[in-house]
Amino acid sequence: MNATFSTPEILGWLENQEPNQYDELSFGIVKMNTDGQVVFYNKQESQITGIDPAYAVGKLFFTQIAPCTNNFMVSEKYKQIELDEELDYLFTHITTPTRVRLRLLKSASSQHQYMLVHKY
Amino acid sequence: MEKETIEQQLQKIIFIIHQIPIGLVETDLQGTLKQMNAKGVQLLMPLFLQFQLSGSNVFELLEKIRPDLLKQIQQFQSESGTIIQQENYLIEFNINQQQVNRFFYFTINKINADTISFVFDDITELHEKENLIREAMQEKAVEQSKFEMASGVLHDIGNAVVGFGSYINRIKNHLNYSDHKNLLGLWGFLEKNKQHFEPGIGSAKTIAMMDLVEAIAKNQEKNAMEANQIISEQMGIINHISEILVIQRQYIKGHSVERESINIRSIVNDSIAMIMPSLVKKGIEMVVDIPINISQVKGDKTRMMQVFLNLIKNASESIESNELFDKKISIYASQNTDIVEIKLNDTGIGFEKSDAEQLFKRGYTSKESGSGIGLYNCRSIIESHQGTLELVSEGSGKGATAILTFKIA
Repeated sequence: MNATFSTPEILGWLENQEPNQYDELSFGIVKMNTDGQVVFYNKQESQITGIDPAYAVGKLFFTQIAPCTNNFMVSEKYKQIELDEELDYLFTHITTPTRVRLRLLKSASSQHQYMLVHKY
Repeated sequence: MEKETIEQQLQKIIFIIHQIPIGLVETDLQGTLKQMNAKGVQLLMPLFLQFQLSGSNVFELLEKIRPDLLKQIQQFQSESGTIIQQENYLIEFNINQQQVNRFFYFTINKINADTISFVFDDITELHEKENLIREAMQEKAVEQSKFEMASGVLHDIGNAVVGFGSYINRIKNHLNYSDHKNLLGLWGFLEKNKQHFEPGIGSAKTIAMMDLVEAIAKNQEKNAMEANQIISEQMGIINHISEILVIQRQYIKGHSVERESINIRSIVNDSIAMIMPSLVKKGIEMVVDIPINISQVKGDKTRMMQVFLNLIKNASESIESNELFDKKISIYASQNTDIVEIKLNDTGIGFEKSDAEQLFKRGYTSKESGSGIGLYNCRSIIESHQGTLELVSEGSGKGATAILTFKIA
């Protein structure tokens, strides 16, 4: 399966990948546990934000890595049990505004939640 | 450790700026976004979304949310300087069809000919807290002025009542020197010298004159007695008003008086000193045994004195009603680790055990002229000091003891 940003049912596919396979994708991906702690931060995501994956892993995504997402538009959405939603947003590469499309993913059966990031 | 290069130091600073929990934005003179930190995105994205803006121009957003702010920026002529210095703005928008009011503060600087910086934050919670505090302070001020006004009115009424009372007392004293005694004296004089009047004006006229003088004297006496009685009743009413005023004034005081550490021994001594003349007059012996090193308690000195004055007054009135030879009030104090106990014992009429609680009911009185608020009030005062007040008696005619306890300060 060659997953793209908008592939339906991508959540199940993501759950079954080896971590290094995330780096093969064409879009940014942040894998977190349900507390928002970063489990995997892929290369593409690092290129969009300028944040080193090694720095990101183990930290709380919504407060320590991307406080810009800590509002009702993004972080609050993850309080839902099931989530698959796309929206346009603004990231910063360090402090340079970067227009992105986000896909927020979460399911009741998984111990993880994901954020897919596509740079316009 | 290797010294950091300037590049590394800058990276670190930029990272700190990025993470700083205040919105920071840099735009050009047309409002196009050049740089912004994470908090800036967090705060502005919902607003961009609300007004369906691309999120690349801050002026577009200001046009929608605060056109006045945009105008100030555009009218700023100098090459650089502060446009807005830490000012609060109300921003209204909708989230899920719900009207939301948020307060943002903005500091806006023109850095150079083509750079504007925005520093801002959402201070709604702070703003609301400030409002609550302001309201609470206003409420307190209103309450305070109400109490001050009430206190002033009570004070004025109190003064008027005292003046009225002393005026009535003067009338009463005048009545004691009424002319009926002089008229009786005159009658006595006529009676004695009857034989000298009779030859002059005749026996019938002398008797008529004497009868007239006697009738006037008796009438005067009757009037004086009636007036006396009315005045006594008036005095009773005035005393009642005074008692109510004292209670109301204490209530008002209670709202402003701070609790200080007070010495029970000196309170008791001061109270006794005040009431001593009347005790001596009634032939009541006073025995006080309060250890000099008794612990201090927290309270309001004036109110505490009112309690002791009231209790001693009650005891002396009770002793007066009990026709015993032994007229004595004794006050003892003792203490343990955290409580001071004071016992005030009298040789008065006492009461039946079953009546003990009845005594503290508002309006209960055993006295002819009592209002029934003395003991009720005493207990309220003591309880407001986290203390207790009880009355015990072995029975009717066997004296009574008031037991007070206070927590040690």
